Amino acid sequence: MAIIVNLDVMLAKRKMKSIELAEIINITPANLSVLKSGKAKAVRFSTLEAICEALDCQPSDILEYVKD
Amino acid sequence: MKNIKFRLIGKNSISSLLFWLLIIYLTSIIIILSKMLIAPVKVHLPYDIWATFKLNILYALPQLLLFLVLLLILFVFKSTNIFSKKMISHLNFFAVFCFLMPFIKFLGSYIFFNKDMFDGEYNTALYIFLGVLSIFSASIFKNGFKIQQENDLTI
Repeated sequence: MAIIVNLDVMLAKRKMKSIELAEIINITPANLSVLKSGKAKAVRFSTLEAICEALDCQPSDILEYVKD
Repeated sequence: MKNIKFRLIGKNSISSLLFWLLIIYLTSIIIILSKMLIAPVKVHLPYDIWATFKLNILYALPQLLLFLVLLLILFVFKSTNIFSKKMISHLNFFAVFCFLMPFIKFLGSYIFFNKDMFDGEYNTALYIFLGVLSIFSASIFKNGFKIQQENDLTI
């Protein structure tokens, strides 16, 4: 897929665990795992906003476009 | 009366009621058929009546299979998630059966019995209509399944 999710990189930078982030943004660890692995078809703006708020970053830090 | 809601899908719904009614109906048909096959009529019957009797048994078997597929469809309707791969395959299978039924009847009456015994023109049209409807339903459920999968993967 052309859109790459760099959530694990940001989590490592912030030294935060996936479960902690899942609890903060109020989604299940399974859904966060789907998002991290790039299997997700779409991301809601509300989820993206919550992630950015929790990790104190911009959407561009999490999502990246790479040409196939 | 206003508070009573009839649900079509899920537990304690109309499809659940239909499922159990169909099970009772199929069980009774199986019992009747097995009695007919195990202990056939011993009296001497004219050829036409005897052939009709055999023909009815021949028709009952594929119809029984058709009802079994219908039972599987209703079983999926009973569950909460109706947009599934099972539903699509059951509906396609049902459509194939519907298209095959007139041929089975045709072959049954023309090959094994008297040629005049095929009188299922009206039923043939109905079966084909049911098959086409089933194919359309399968494509609707296929689209529904795709949309649901996308929705499930929206985080």
